[in-house]
Amino acid sequence: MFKTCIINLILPVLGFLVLNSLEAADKGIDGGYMTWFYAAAACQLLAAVLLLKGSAKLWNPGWVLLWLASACYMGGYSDLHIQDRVHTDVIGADSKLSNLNVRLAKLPADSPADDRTALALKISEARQDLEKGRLTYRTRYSDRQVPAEFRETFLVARDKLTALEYVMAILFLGAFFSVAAFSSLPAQRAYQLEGGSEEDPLNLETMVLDKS
Amino acid sequence: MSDLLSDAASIAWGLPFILMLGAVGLFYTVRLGFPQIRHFKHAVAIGMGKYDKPDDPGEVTHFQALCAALSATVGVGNIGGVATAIWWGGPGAAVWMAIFGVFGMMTKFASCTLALRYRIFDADGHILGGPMESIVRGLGPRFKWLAGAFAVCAVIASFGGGNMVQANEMAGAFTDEFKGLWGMSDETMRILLGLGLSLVVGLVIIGGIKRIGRVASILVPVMAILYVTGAAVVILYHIDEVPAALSEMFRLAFGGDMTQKAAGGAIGLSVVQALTWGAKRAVFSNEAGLGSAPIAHAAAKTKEPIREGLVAMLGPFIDTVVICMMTATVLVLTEAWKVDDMVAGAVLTKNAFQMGMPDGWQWFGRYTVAFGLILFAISTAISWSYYGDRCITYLLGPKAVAPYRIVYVIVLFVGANVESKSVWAFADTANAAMAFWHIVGLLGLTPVVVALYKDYFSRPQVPTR
Repeated sequence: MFKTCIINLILPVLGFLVLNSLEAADKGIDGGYMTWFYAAAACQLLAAVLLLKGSAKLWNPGWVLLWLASACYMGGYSDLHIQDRVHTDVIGADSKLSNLNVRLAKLPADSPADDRTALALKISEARQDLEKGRLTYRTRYSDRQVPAEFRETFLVARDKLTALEYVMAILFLGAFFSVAAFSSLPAQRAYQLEGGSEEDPLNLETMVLDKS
Repeated sequence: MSDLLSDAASIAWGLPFILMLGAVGLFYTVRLGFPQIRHFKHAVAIGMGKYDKPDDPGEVTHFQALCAALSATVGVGNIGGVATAIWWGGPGAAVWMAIFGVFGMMTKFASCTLALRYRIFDADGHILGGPMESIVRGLGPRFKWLAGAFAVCAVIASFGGGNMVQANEMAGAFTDEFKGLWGMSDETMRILLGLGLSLVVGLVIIGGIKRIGRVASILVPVMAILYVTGAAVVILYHIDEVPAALSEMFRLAFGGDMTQKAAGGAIGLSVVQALTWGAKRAVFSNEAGLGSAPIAHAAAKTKEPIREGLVAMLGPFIDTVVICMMTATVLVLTEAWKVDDMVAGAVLTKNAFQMGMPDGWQWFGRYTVAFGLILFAISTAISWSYYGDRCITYLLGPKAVAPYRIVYVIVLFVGANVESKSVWAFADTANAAMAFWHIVGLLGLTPVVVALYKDYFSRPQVPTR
């Protein structure tokens, strides 16, 4: 369990270094996820310190803190994911609209009126989606305007957001898998916890308990 | 509300979740030394009944348990989910689906082994097993709340993804394909379909796991053969182009930018997109790690937990590596996903099957997908009722089963007649929530799986026939 504690001490530090090196703020990404990260890192570090002591009394608060750290990392991921979606929605709606306009322009003059009407309807829907995406962007980023060269700007921001999401997801895994590691039977024995399972897993005769 | 639910679902099925399930599969693969390859033949032999002993405790054979679990997993994800993955992630996503399918085999192996090891007989003499029992008996009573949280999420999920979503998809596919049949309006058709589906599912689930197992062991092979035959016809008809299609899929899975843009145009498809979408749809399709299939596998007649684990391992292989890959190959061969960037999901797969068929046989492609969806939906609804049934028994006792089944059948009827977007999101969130509790137990019990595995393979295994 000592190794798992050390991993939990190292991970938040590594996370801090990587998240800062990504310089997301330069790409117009909101820093809300960092608040979640700091909360998670604090919980994880404290949990690691408590669990390092190896005492049965400190196991419970340490274990709960690891759950909290996982939840906070998930909060950070959620913040990034929603930012990502806002960017993707605008890019996607814009691309769809331009594709449809190209198709309309290429439509032969003698094509059936129904085809033209159907395409016009799709264009109208795509335009509405784009407006909705832009509105969501403005709401999310406190009335920040969609930049004129938004496609390039958004694509760069989106790549950055994806990288940040991966970092946050990996940090989440570190904390969450630690919850599982500290729940295991060897951990329960190491911390001398009461109320653990007493069954011998290899004794297959006791496999089916009859509760009837 | 709908947007909020959609956000919750996409976060729940986001990167942390996908990486978590992938990592668990990878962990067990490495820890046990690639059993999905080394013991594949043995798993098939067990599945075919070569090690069956009628006197062993349990309610269904290995094959029936596998079919019951497969009938829940082989569903909409195999048809619409693959199309969605390729639409968003490009052809490379299919390769990542298969890779995650291979790792998923081990997640399912471990969870089903534990379900067998820690199952019990309930007060009615039926088997009760799955993550809730594994957690409580394996990790100890201290973790009872964890097992309870899993069971609550499983009951909720059984009404969502296993029930309403399936009814809705089936009704949608049928009314779309047979519009105006006998002069009926869409609404009337949906009401009749809802009633029919509720009746069929009700008649099956009232017989418990034994009847579910029997029905599934007929329904699953029929639907799998029907669908795989349709896909095989398309693939064979385009056999000359298969090497190029496969090569494109592998090239895009591990590198190379897409020149052909999809998914609303110039989003740009990278390896990361291919990986993310492939992984997402693989997990959605084979359910490895959710903790649902162990509930069905726990009912198998055997004294050897590892045997059922090995049979269960075949589930993700059949579901993701075989069926999903065949769907993906059809989509890439026909290039249906490039034709119209407004079409995705099951409709895209239907278009691909139609486009890929020889001249004059387009109807066969269309009906393969339409009937496939209907059969897949019925079988999924039947098996998920069992999952909910076992979890409600765990929470409230056997008395709760009858009311649960009645509510389940009513909800099925409602599901065929409502708008599905919010239901999908709700179901996705509940499914993901099941997995988080389940994974804690699964990883916490790794030493038990390893001990059982070593013990089983240290003894000679003699077939009974």
